[in-house]
Order: sequence, then C-alpha cells, then structure tokens
Amino acid sequence: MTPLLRVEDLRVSFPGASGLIEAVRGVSFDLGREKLGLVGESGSGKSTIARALLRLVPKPGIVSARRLELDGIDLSRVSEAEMRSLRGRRISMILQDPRFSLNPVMSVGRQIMETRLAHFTDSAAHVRAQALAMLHSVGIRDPARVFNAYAHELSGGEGQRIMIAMMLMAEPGVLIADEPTSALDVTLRGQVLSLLDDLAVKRGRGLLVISHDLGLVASFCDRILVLYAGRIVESLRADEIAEAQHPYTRALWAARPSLDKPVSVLPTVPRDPAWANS
Amino acid sequence: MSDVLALDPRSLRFVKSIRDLARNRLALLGFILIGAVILAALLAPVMAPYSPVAQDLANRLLPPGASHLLGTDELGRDILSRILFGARTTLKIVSLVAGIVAPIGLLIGMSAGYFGGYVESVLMRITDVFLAFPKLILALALVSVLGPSLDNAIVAIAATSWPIYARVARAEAAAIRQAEFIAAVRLLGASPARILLRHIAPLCLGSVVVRLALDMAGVVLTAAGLGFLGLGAQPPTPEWGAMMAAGRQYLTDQWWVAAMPGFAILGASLGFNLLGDGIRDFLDPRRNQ
Amino acid sequence: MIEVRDLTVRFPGREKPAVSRVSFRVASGEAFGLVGESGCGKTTVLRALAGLITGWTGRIELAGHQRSSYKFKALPNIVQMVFQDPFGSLHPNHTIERVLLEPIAIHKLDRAEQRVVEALQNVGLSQRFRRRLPHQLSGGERQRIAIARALILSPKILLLDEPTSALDVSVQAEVVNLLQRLRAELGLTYLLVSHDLPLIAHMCGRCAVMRSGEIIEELTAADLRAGKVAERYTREFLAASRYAA
Repeated sequence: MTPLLRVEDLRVSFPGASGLIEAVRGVSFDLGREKLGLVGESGSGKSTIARALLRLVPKPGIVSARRLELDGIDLSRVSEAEMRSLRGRRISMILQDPRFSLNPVMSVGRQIMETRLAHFTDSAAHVRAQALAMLHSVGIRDPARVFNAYAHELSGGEGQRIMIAMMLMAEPGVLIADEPTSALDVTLRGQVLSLLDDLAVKRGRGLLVISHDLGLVASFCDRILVLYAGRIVESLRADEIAEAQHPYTRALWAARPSLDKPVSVLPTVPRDPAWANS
Repeated sequence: MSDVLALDPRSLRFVKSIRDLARNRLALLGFILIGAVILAALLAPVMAPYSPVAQDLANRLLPPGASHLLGTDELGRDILSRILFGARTTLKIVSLVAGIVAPIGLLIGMSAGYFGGYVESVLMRITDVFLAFPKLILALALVSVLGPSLDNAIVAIAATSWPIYARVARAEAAAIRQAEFIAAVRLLGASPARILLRHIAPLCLGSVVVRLALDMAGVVLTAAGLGFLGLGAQPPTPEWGAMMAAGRQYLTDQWWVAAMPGFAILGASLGFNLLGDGIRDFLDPRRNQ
Repeated sequence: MIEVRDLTVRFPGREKPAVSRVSFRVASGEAFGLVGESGCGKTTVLRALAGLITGWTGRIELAGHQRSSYKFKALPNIVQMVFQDPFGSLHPNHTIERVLLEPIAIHKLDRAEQRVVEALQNVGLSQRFRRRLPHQLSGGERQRIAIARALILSPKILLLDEPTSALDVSVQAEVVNLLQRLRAELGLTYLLVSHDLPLIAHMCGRCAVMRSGEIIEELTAADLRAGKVAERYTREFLAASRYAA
C-alpha cells in the first residue's frame, strides 16, 4: 500500500543577515494510515515542516524536496490554485490554540459548514445536518447550542473539538496536529487525543502529531520521529521508546518528571551540534 | 514561528521599516514639505530678500516678479519674506501645542487608565466635557476671554486638543495595566508614579506620537484660522492666516496677496497630514505581520 | 510561613465565588502545590496571596505579616511571584540589565552592579545577556530572568504560577532544577500552582487539589505517587495525567 504522504529530503531555508539559514535540513519520512509523532524542541523546525507540507511557509522562505507526494500527487508540480483546493480537502492542520484559530465574529456552525462548502457542492441544508452530526461525533453534548455559539462562548476543550470537527468536515486524507493539546488541561488531553484516534486514524486517515512532549507522543502515536536542529536524529516505534538509541531521544525521555520514577534532580538534555550533521 | 527566528528580528524589522517608509512616496512628500517649512523657519533671516516688516508704500501690491518673487502686499512688504518668517510663527505654534498637549494628555489619560475607579471616572468626565465642544469654537471663546495674541492662541489650541490624547493614552494604559510585567514591578514595591512614568508611559508614547503627527495639520489650520480672524499673532508679526485675511480685500485684482500665504498653509498642513499617515503606518504593529 | 484561612474571593458580577473557604498552611522551607484544572481558582488564590487581588474575605498571613484585604501593599522582602507567561512578565522595551536594576533602584540598594552580576550567576546565565531585550531570549532564558528578578530582594516566599507550562519539556527540566537548587540554597518557601501532577510530585512535598474554587483534599507527594487518594475526582485527574504523559 502506498503511503499517504511521502517526504524525501525536505529542506527549508530562510535568508538571514549572513546568508541562508536552514531551518529544515533534509528530512525524509513516509506517513501511512497511522499516528506518526514528530518531536522536537522549539526552534527544531517541526512547525516549519508542517507548513512546508501545506505550502504555507512564509514569504522569503525557500522550500525544496527531492520528493513531496500527497496520496500520489506530486506537490512540487501543483499550482497555487490547486494547492488551495488540496488544503483542507486532502491535507489539513489542527493548530495549538483554538481561541486564535476560530473567527471571533462568525458562528461556530457557519465556520464548520464553510470548510465543507468550500470543497463540495452540497446543499446548505445537507451540510448543516452534517455539521451538527460532526459536532455530536466530536463529543459536543449540545450540538445545537454550540452550532450557534461564537468562539468566546466556548471552553478550551470545546474549542479544540470544534477545530477537529472543522478539519474533518472536508474528510482530508492527512491530518496534521501541531501541539493539539498543549493549550488544554491534562484532564481534557486524553479525550481530545482519543477523539483524533477515533475519527482520523480508525477511519483510514494519516495523522501527523507535532509536539515538544516526547511523553505525550510516545503514549499516543505508533511511530516517532525525533527532530534535532532541522534533522531527524532518530526514528523509532513508540513502544520501543524505552530502548531509544540516540542520546538526545534518551535525554528527552528522561527529562520529564514521572509519577512512577521519582528522581531528586531531573536529567537535562545535552545538545551537540554534531548530531545535526551525522 | 519561533522556528524561523534565527535572524535577529529587530535589525531585520528596522531595515524593513526604513525601506517601507522610503517606498511610501506620499510620506516622503510629506517629509519634504515639512522639511521645507523647518528649513524656511531656521534660515528665514538668511533666505529672506527683505525685512518681513519693512514697509515700502511706493511699491505696494506689486505682482510677482524679479525684484519681489511673490509680489508685495498692501503695505509694500515682500510676501516671500513674510511667508518665510511666517513659517517661524507656524512652527512655534505647532511645537508649543505639541509640547503642551502630549504630556498633559498622556498624564491624565494614563492616570485614568492605570488607576481606574473614581480617578478614571472624574478624569474622563472632564475630558468628555472638553470633547463635547467643537474645537474651533471653544478656541475662539478662550481667545476672546484671554485677549487676542499669539501666546493666547497657543494656549487656546492646546486647551482644546489635549482631550483626545487623554483618550488614546487611557486606552493603552488600561490594557498595559493588566500585563504581568506591571504586576511584577508592583510586587517589587514600585510606587504608582514610578510604574506610570517608567513602565507605562514609554509604551503609550507610540500611539500618542502617531495621533500628534496626524493632528498637527489641524493645528496648522486652527492657528491660521485664529490668525485670519485677527485673534492670533498680532501685526506686524508675519503670520499666514493674518496675511490671508489682509489680502482678502484685494482678492479679485491682486490675487497673490491672499493666495501665496494660502499655498503656504496648504503645503504645511498637507505635509503634516502625509507625514502623520506615514508615521502611523510605520508604527502600526499589524504592518509587521 | 504561609497561613491561609477561609479565603473566599468573589468577582463582581458572578454569583459563585471564584475561591471558596480555602485554608492551608505551608511551613518555612516547604514546597506546597496547588493542583487543579484551569478555572478551578488556583491562580486566584496565588494572586490574592501576592496582593494583586483585593476585596476577599478570610485571613492571609505571610511570614507573620497579615495581608490587608482592601488595600494593595507590596511585601517585597517577603513574597515575590514568577508568572506563567515568560514573555508577558518582562517589559518588552527594557533590557535585561534594566529589569534586574529595577528592584535595586526602587529600594535604593547599594552595590547595584555586584547584585546584577550575582543575580545572573544565580540563575546560570552569562553576563552577555545584560544588554539584550526580552524578545531576543528564549522562553527558558526569559523565565530565568524572571526568577532572578524575583530573588534580588531576597524574599522568603516565592509564588510560582505554572512557571514551566509555556516551556518545552527539555527546558522545563532545567528551570525546575534551578528552582529546586535555589530553594535548597536560599531556604525559600514555594507555593506552586500547576495542573501537572508529575511536576507537583517532583517539586512539592505536599499539595492540595482544587476544584470549583474549593480544596477537595490535601495529599503528600508519596500519596500522589502511590495513588492513595480519597476523592474520585483526584483519581480521575491522576489517571488522565498518566494517560497523557
């Protein structure tokens, strides 16, 4: 089975005061119908990778790749207009904080319908019914109320569910979630993650989760890519995380306080520029 | 976002701003116009071919020509020289008004915004009272009470234009008050005066400067208006508005007597307007997104 | 060192109090955690202790000083606070040097230069940071500066409002270790607000679980680790923390 997303030697650079600065330096991976985690610290280039996949890298940035394929479509040959129709329809992104991603002056229901109407020629009444059903399936208890609500009337958990509902309305094959739970309380994180699992992966979609939190990614994803300074330094199965080989991965894994393994001093993460070049 | 911050964002933004400002042709034109007014004011004694007050009744109402580039007025005074010296009067009014209005408005607005409660209610109601009157009419009333003179015109204009700065500063201060860095210095034991002057004022200054730049065109016009009505600078001090007023009765035959100072007023107010627009765009944080 | 009794905070226009009859005591040198979801009132308790909120009822005593419930009064040598958002807690136009000089200038302390040098050393930052502006620093570095500023006046109590939740896990470890070291070296008392149970268990000896403005139970770190909790809500919270970690 061909992967949903194939990335080979992806590079993104930005012009700086002294020449080009490479934010992403030759990243390759495939995404199948699975949960793939992309872990890195801020500045490692993880969000830039997501933007490059959606062709949303801001202006002076230069993106190149030996291969960038979405569901068999070569993204390097796709025009800007075609890319617009692919975004949302085939590949979608869920952002960190729903409060900034929802339009404050448009009702939630309207925004959910919008994503569908932008890509399909369904009747508005039909889409409305779909939107209500989608709200129900993302676990909103009272879809009719939320449908007519505005962003400021929602709680954080509801906001993120609505973002997910919005993204799923156009039934994209690939879903990118950039820090989907870091704005949420611990008690809501699990719910949102299992929602993503139910609605995306169990229905044959590919999910790329981007996070700085190796613990979260390891407990949720099938595979993990560890990014350091714009390069993937280790790629491993989530259940093998305890046996990670790379010192950076091991340090990230140990740096988080754990309820089960008390330590007096938390191990810190060493940084070695050589890792980015090997 | 943070993934691409490898290049120093501040220097980048600075370079970009300079470029944008230069690219903004209209702002550049405004800059040139105001530059010309300032130059005229500074170099008036050097540049002016004649004394601005010397009367020469033999040569009254001469049309623009070789000896008098912009002609002479009803008392035979050289109009070019009077316009050049008039720039001093205008700039004096503009800078004094700005110098009075900005600190007063800032202080009142910031105090209202920072303290809130009763302080805010009292200060902002006073502000509202001033805002409720049309500016020019209030200025007229004030000058009539104080007596017509240049200084009183400045006082009148200042007294009528500070409220808007208080409004601007209040809005900014009320937002900044909530910031955690203000909470942090409060916990350090800083006095309200220190917090207002050292922490909040610098952040309000940006919007006040923009407002000031946009308002200066209006100040030029109000000053000229008061001069025109004989309530501003008194003769023989050269002042553009008063010059226009004097030229009014010769408008049909000796148009230049009124028109030349009119062009000067137009140029100066247009210049301030364009420059103000430019500065606003320049300081607008949204521009950098 | 900290004694809170029957603290109740009401915000105008809301029927339900944001904090309701909260009581706890923290001994000198202890680290105490306040745990709960967002909106449970834990940050409100912290801000009331800092003095940033007035109009509460009850009793707050910090190192023997009783807080006034109607008038803000800084207790700079007793209590300082480190905020959640490392960007928002530093003045955007002030250099790091100016940030650190501020408390020295307010209290007209001597040896200003030496104090700034020591403050940076204390939090493990080099002197070259002095000329920089906050936006030129990473989140972890900004939080170190905020800690350095809080400690310049040698307070006895540090109020920590989710000090690492805006940071990467890897940077969190460094800031947490720094806070632990400073507490041991300076004999500080910490009150830490967080929704991260593993972090609370790591940093605090005891904690109180808050829900809808009330403390529902008090636990030791050992109880937390062993899952010895009485309330169902705490058990669910604990389970969620294990799942999402």
